[in-house]
Amino acid sequence: MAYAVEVENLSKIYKKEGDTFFALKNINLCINKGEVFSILGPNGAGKTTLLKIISTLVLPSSGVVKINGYDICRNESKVRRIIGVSTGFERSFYYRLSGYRNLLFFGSLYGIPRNILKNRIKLLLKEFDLDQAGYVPYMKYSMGMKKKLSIIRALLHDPDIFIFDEPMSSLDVKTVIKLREKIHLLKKSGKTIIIATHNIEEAEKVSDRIAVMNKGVIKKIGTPHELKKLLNVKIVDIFLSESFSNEKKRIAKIFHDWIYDISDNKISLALSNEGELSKILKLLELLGVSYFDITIHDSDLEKIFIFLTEDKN
Amino acid sequence: MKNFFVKFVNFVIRDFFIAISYKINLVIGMIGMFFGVLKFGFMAHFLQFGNSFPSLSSYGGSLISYLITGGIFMSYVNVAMNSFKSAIRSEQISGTLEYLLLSDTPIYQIIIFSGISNFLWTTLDAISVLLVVSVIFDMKMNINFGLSLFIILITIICISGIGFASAGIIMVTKKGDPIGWLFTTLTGVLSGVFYPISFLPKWIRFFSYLLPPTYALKALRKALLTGSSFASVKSQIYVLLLMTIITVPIGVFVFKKGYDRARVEGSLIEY
Repeated sequence: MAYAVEVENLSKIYKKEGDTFFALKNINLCINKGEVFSILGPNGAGKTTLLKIISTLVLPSSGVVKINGYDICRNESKVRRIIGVSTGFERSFYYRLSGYRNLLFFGSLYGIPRNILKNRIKLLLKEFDLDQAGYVPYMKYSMGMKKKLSIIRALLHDPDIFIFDEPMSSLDVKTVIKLREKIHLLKKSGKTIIIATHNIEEAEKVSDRIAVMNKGVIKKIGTPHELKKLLNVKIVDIFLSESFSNEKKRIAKIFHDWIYDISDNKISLALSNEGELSKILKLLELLGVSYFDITIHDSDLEKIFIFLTEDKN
Repeated sequence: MKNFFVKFVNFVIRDFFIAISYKINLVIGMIGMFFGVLKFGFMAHFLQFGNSFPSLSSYGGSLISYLITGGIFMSYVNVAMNSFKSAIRSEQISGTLEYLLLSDTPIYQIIIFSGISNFLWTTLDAISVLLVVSVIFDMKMNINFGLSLFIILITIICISGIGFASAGIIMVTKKGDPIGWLFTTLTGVLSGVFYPISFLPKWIRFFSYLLPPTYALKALRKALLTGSSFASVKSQIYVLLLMTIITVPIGVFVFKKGYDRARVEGSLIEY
């Protein structure tokens, strides 16, 4: 089966003032046609760089990226025709022109006949509640309106693959629900949707599969269900006795691999199996650390995601 | 081809709407242009009064005509040199460059179409200047229209080659372009814009002959002021064509290098 997106051994290195920085490190992934695929990661994870490479806007340092079978470096023109991109940047339209005129301009570059284009713009503006604001200069738009306009532009030429960078940010609840429905509709009609986000709940709600990314590396890829299972860790809160509360840092160093949170007289550890708990209890005993209580509970997904992606060093 | 034309028209419409959104600037610009022409014309009229300029005899002998055509030509040189790089910079500032590229509009079309409005404004400006000057200052012209247009066209193409190189540098440096600055400055001093190059010391004149505007200006003045035929300016036109063959590929090469480097650095919309 041909993939919508194939990424093989992709790396991106930036060199600044003599320093080398890996924005992406040996990325491998395949996105199926008709799939909603989210790239989930904290700020600076490399999500936008990956999307920009897929969109042909940034050249990779090494590796191969194919969109519907077309190599992004050799067939950039063909790739551009089949993708619709909406980035999270505020700057991407002409400030002095209205939303409608901006869309008319960008739409015309795709060779859409004028009448069809005008009707499509009107329908989309209405769908995203911008039918009145469409005639107001872009510079007067709120962040949410700018985001909506950017999404509309990506939809204008009816591409096969949509690339949305943080599509839900700055949007009100009503629009978020509408956009989710739109994504489902696009998927139903066979379109592929790639979303970069740092919002795990949003990713979970709309995606068929999610790639968790941090520091330019893909940590895990799986369905939301698989990831949840994978992230199924227990949080153990150890309440230290008063005499040890000043030694939190030393103790935290010893439990470095499990540290989840530290506060007042409490150290929280994230454990993925029961065996680890007995190991920790033994260690506490060995160190002579006294505690007055231990509680075990589940964590929310977002914190677990942070735990997985944060730099322990 | 139809798509090419549609895109071209849409870029012009876009620039028109942006221009009229700055209404006061537009009006001030037009009034300023009118007074600029008047100032220029009166100064030339004053210098011409009671004087003769034998060194300008091959262009009809009128100082007004000589200065006005030089001024108009210089504005075309400026536009050919600067409009591409300012188009790039403007799209970088508005953050629209990436979206223009994503629309599968080749980068060369983007910068040419984005710069085209400047050429149209300059042409409108040039026509107004010529009309005002010929009515108010009785500037004598014997225009060979076809030849004048042809010379302007090849001049624009030739200098645009250098303009492309300049835009390629702006892709990387974002601001500050030594090629554009050097070329425009040298043209103003060495190409006979406001005085014949025969007034330059011999050793400096050598550099004049390396600049395309020197040939273009000589040919254009003859076509605009004395109605000269192709045969009488063909040597300048051949040199100009030869220079075009050199400047355009070099300009395209430098631009491509700058564009690729911006994509490697991921700095397409940085400014």
